[in-house]
Amino acid sequence: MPVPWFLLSLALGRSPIVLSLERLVGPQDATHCSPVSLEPWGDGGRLRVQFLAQQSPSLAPVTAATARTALSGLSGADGRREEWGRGKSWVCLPLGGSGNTEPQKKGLSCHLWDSDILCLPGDIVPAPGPVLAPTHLQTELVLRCRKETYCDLCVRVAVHLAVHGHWEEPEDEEKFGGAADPGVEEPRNASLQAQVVLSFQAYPTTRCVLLEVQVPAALVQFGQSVGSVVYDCFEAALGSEVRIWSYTQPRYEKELNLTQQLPDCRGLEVRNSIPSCWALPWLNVSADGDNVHLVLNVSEEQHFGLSLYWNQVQGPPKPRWHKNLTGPQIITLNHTDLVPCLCIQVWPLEPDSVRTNICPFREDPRAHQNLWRAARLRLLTLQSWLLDAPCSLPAEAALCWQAPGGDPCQPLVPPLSWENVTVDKVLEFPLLKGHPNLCVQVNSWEKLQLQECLWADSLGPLKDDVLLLETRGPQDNRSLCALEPSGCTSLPSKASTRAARLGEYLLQDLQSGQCLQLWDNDLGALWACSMDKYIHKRWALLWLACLLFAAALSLILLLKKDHAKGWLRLLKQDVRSGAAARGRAALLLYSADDSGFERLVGALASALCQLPLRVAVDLWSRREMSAQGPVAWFHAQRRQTLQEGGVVVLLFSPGAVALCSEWLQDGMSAPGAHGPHDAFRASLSCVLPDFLQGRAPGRYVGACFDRLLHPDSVPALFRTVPVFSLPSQLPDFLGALQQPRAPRPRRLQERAEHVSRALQPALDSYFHPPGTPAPGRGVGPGAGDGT
Amino acid sequence: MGRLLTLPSPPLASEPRQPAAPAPARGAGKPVSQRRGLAGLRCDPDYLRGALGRLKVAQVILALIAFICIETIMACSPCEGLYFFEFVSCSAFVVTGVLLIMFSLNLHMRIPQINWNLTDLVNTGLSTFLFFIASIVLATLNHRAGAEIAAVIFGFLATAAYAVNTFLAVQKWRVSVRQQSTNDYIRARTESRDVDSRPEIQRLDT
Repeated sequence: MPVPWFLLSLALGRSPIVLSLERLVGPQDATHCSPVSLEPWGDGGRLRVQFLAQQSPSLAPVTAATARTALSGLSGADGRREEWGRGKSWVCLPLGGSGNTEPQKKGLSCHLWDSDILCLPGDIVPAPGPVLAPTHLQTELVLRCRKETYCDLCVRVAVHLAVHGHWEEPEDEEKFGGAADPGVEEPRNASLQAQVVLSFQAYPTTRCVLLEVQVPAALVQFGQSVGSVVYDCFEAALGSEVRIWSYTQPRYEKELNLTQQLPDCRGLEVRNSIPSCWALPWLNVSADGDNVHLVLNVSEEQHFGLSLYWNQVQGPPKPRWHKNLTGPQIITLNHTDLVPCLCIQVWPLEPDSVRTNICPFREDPRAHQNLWRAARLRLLTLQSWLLDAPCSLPAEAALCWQAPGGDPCQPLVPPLSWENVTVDKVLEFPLLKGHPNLCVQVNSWEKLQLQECLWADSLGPLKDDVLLLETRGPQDNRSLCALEPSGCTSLPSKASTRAARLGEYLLQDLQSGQCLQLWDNDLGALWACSMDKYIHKRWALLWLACLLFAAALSLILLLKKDHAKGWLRLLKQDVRSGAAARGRAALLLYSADDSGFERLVGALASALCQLPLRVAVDLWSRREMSAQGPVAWFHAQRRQTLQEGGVVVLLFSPGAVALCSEWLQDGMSAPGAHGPHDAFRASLSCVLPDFLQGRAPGRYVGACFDRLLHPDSVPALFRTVPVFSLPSQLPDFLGALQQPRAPRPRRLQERAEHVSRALQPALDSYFHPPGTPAPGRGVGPGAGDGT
Repeated sequence: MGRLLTLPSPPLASEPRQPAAPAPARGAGKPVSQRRGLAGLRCDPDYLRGALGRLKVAQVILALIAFICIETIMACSPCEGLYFFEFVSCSAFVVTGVLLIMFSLNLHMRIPQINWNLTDLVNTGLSTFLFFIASIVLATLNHRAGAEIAAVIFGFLATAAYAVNTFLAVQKWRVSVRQQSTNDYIRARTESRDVDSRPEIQRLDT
């Protein structure tokens, strides 16, 4: 009966083992029983496909020939086979060691009721005496064939019976005589009878059959097995899950239970017998380098479905991929997708088709690698964590201590123990506090598979702490040892390890409560002690570096003292001058015709100072001039002014012009004439070379007062530079005095205003001196022609 | 009865008075290098051959070795003694080294504003005291570690070297103080002598 069920698959290797199943002929169910010893089904050297009540389904290799021989032995030799009537067939066979017993007297007898009964277990009642009870359930797969190639899978159930219940000693029986319980069965001398119910549940069927068993008195021994009853058979579908219960009516004990997974077409060599396995796509798995190929060998027009999923032990499988395909296919899987529980399911696209599963990667090492690479440990709370992995494998986990510095993590297994961990199930761990050095190790099959430090994210990097293991002895005495890479050194100790040397200090820290308790038990505890204060921190090296740097700096400054002083001076100058440094230097040269003119020149110089200009005029430096001499002073001033990019202003007056002409014509001045024109003569001697060599333009500027002198009177030599009349050409004059970067014209105009305002009073007082009737030249010695 | 001689007023000096020449006893009489900067460096072997120079070299070496010894220790309990010894030996090493360089290359003459003898005295005195204290402290924290014992030994040796140096430096300083006062007296006397231009008066203390 094909059933559209979802299957759990059997573990198969690459080549499916060929299993031949016994074929039953005849559509009726039957039962037979036998008083066999405790190893039924394994006697006589026979190996059958057996499914025991206790263990999970597994396949054992079967030799078909021996099976058939055994059966023929059954039917031929010792037993009697009655004809199988409808519902009333039974066979009683003695099998096994006690071959020389008389079958009739010693054998069990069993009888099958006609039709199925209702499955009503009822309550457990106390046994009134010795009763038969089922002890053991075994199943076997057979094929029930209607035609040669039209068979169905069928489950044969064997129930082993034993005598249980209340049992009195034979002496007591004698004493009591007839005062025994008036149960259904008479003690000892009567045979025991029982009604055994077999309940079979497979989707969609549920059947219950009743077997009446009678055991002769001779075989009744308390606690011993009296034999087995075999029921042929329950029909079931390929790949379905079947449940079988067995109990007696009335029920004296808890019922026996057996759950079993039936294999699919691939597991049994039934391709040609069972119709639902005829048109099945067959799957081969082949490896090609890094990839895995699934080769589907089907006919061209066959439609089938293919699905990949992760098989889980608990809970539904996790689907990965599903597709409907037609015709032969080759599907390639990347080797990184392989996990041990990756299973492939194929089925023909018909209604209610049987699905075949194979899980070819159970033992693939790459698949296992991928599994552990994808596995993760997650910390849920302080005391519980979860292993997250695609497949579930048997694994154990324990805490370990990771010391900083690359040593391997040491499992804390003597005080703690290895706990079994299931994938996707929360594991509780009785920790009191988390610590970044605590890690969890997961072992599978004695090999370390996964190690993760779960508190590294929340508590930070590895700390340099020492783990102390405390073991509490029987009389409340405790011994401590420190976990080190070389083992656990007990404290106090004279060893040369770091913890041993600081042993007393660690003990003191523990007493004073500076250590953190991580775990506590009746028998021991774990403490984490900080070693921070025992580590020699290297601040002295930093201090040394600072001192050396300071020393080097001071030595360098010492050696380059002049440079340092120069820099300091520059700094001071910069700070002091500031805006004043922007002012251009100007040297004012004039001829002191008379004292009034001198005063005028002084006023002009003061006005120009506000421009800003750094004006140098001999009026203000008489002391230096007399100390150095006029020639030297003028030379120095001119050189300095021109070096700083300044300008030399030649103020022409009649006396100056006369001097110039005299100089230019004669080339020599009259000796001995020390007069007020001495200074101008001296300045001329400095200035003339520049003019003669044509270096004047750009550095020299001429000016004259338009009421004193006409600009045309200025000697031609000096007219290579612009000559301005003051105060009419004052703005242009000021423009020429500025630095090459011209300021804004408005600014210039403002300054011109300032200067003219400052100059006007002086001009007025010179040209219109108070007391003189008419405007004229200023009085004073040397006015007019100068000598 | 001698004749009273009237002393005419001394004529005004035509040239401004020269400042007093440095007394011959002042300074060591060595020629002062006129070149400045790195080119003017000249090693002074006399200083290094003298007692003070050798002591300084010894102090620098001992302080350095003590520092290295104490730096090799990884774990300490408690660590404060170690930190103090480290600080003392490190600072003594650098400061004494700088003073050694300055004295041996005559760089101290370029900064006449600082009294170098006093500086040296302060340095050695302080180093003696601190090294002594640090070595005692370290000796009491006995952990039987080889490096610590070596550091203690070198610390005491350095203390001894500094102590000897202190003694000599004190002597030198006292001498220089006396000399200073003597120099002032001689200078004052020379000046007063210059002012007196009467040759006929006999000088009794020529």
